[in-house]
Amino acid sequence: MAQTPYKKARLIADVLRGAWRPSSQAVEMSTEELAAITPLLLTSGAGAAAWWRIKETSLHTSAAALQLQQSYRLHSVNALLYRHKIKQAVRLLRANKIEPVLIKGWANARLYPEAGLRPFGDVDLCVEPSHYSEAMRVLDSPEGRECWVDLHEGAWRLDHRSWDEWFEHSKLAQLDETNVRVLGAEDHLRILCLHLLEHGAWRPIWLCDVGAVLETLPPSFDWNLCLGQDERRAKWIASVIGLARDILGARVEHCPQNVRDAQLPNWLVPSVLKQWERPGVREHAPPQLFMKSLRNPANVPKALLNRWPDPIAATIRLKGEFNEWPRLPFQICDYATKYLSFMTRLPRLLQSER
Amino acid sequence: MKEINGGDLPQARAEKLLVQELGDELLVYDLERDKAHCLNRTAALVWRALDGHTTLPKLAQQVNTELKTEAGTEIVGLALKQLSQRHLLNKEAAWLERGVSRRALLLRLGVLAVTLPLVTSIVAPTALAAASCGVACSMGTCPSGCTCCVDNMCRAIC
Repeated sequence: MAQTPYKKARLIADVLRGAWRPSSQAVEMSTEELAAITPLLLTSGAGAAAWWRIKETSLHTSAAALQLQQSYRLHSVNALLYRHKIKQAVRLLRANKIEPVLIKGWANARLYPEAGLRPFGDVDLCVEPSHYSEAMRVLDSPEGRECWVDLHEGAWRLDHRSWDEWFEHSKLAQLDETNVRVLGAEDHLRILCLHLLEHGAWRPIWLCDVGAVLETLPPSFDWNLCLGQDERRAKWIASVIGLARDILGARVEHCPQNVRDAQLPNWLVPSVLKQWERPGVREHAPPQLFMKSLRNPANVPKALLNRWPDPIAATIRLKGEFNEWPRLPFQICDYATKYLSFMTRLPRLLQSER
Repeated sequence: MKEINGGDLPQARAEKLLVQELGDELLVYDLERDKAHCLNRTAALVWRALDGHTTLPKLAQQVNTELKTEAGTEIVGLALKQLSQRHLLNKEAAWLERGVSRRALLLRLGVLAVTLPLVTSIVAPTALAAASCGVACSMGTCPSGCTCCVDNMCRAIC
């Protein structure tokens, strides 16, 4: 493999470019290059989307492609089952006069040509806070437990709005014979962007989600509502849209000019590409509790190193600007803040261990 | 292989199944057994035709036409065997266990492997695998027993 910086990440970008569209530009890649990035695609949940892009190219019979095709089948099975469970859960709650709002999972996947192009987790539903206890009771029934619901009290990421405002802006989406309530497009795009940044943008499929939303915005889309009143946060959101534009070729011509032409700081794209080259979920799972590491002092240096923050998430946690300033100070401050917080809790943690 | 006549053709099961087309394949999720299967084009062709009225000669002819082969009867037999093994038929067909094998079809009839019916089982998701954290925890211990706590907050992998 040639020594281009983040060569594999750029290949991942090539293969996922426009993966949320029914058809897109041909992929130009050798079978060796595809084989090199297939493990990264599979472990980050982008295997099905990659198969979608190569299934009608000469790559589709390669050994790597067959793995991607299997991933496509697996995600499609997931989608088939989860759609069934979503409908079950929604019907069950509505029978008890509770109206849930579906977030994540199918709420993202429905914007793709096929729901199986994007992996699902569990069924994430939000209910009004006053209905939360009753909803928990309903979902604790034998029928409810079959639905694999992860129930959220109130709005997920409320962003200083009330439940009523958030709910009023939600809409109904058709899932087979059932109408399922999902976030309004403005809330959906905003949450996708912020969530991606908070996790350091490590998962390519999240940027595909942003592309999928951007290219299916309704004509009535309210950019003021999406970007919000906080200028710094608005720039964060615009930066993510810029990432989808620059890395995955998302179409932004219908976005307002300040969003469409958002200039990204020089460190941002390389930071994302670096994250994409980290091999899989295990690298990005939060490290084991530091308390466990303390039990064996030999583990402490590695445990400390594992917690070094990526520049994107560090900037977000410290509510910093996305500008050309170096990111190292943000990473140092974020690291120090976390450890100060841990040290203040340490006496209580040690006491609880005894 | 024991002869099967048109009256013996079992019907495709319909209850407690989720079905989705995937290109020329068919995904079937068995809600009773929590198992997922992928039917290739040939297996899907046979399964879809098992409506309780189609006879064996007619189905074999349909297979011959679609797949440009003359081994329709044997292919239907092999498909029925695989479908029965995965409980995708309404009638148990124990006699099918003694039917022709894929290998025999490949060797004896020279049928192309891609023409043969194939029903593969796929690992299906479980509730445990689906669970994410994302709940507030205290004292650095996740209530669900996982070890993903940072700053008193479980960090979900979304």
